[in-house]
Amino acid sequence: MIILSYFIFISFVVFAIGLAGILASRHFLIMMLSVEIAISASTIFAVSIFYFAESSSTILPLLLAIWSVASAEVMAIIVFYRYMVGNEVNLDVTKLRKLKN
Amino acid sequence: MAYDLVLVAIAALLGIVSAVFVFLLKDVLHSVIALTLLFIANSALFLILNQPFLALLQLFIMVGGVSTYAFVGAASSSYSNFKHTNLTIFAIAVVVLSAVLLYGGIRANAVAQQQNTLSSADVSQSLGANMGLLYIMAIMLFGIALGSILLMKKIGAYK
Repeated sequence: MIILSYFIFISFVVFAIGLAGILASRHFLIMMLSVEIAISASTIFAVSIFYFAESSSTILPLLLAIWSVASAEVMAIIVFYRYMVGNEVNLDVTKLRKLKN
Repeated sequence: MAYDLVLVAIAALLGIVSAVFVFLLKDVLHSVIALTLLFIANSALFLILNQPFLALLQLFIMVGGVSTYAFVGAASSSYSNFKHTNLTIFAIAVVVLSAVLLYGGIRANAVAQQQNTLSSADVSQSLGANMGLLYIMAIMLFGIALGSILLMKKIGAYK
């Protein structure tokens, strides 16, 4: 038998890993990927809550919204990453002062 | 019964380990591959929760679309090989944040047993009422992301 607590535990741990990554990382892209990890944890949480609470038919719009936020973020960070690499901007955020060299 | 639990354990382990490996691996390209594995583990969890459609969408959108885009984006630029994560701070932060979040979850569960809280029917009803808004929001966000790429190309951000 599958228990809701397992899925909540998994989503909380993955979310904590994402948050810890933002705190501990210095790389621009890795920090943004940790936001992706946190977003991904939120999808696990949402689907498990709706699975155990009620029919999950109404979860789809919410998930689409979450996925679109995640997709938009990845598109934006890759654009910024390419821009920063192209202009030889330091990817270490502790040394980042402005978006040009 | 035990079969389900084993599947949950495998998917959870894959998800958590791949999420940690995003920070352990030195090369950002490898980190993106680890993130892709996390999305695949998520999809497996959806499948275990008897949601094959959501699992398929997760695979299509996050693995097929987003991860491929991130992979190509990271691969097309030069690699950055500096030590990007302080692993001591990372380990401490994971333990502390997990403890805080899990304590909050347990505490919320205990309060919910005593009081009348928002029922799942209320959540479903309010989500259903705002369905159009959520769809518009999703389309708008995609539009903004695509627009930002076109704008960056226009102003010559790419070299």
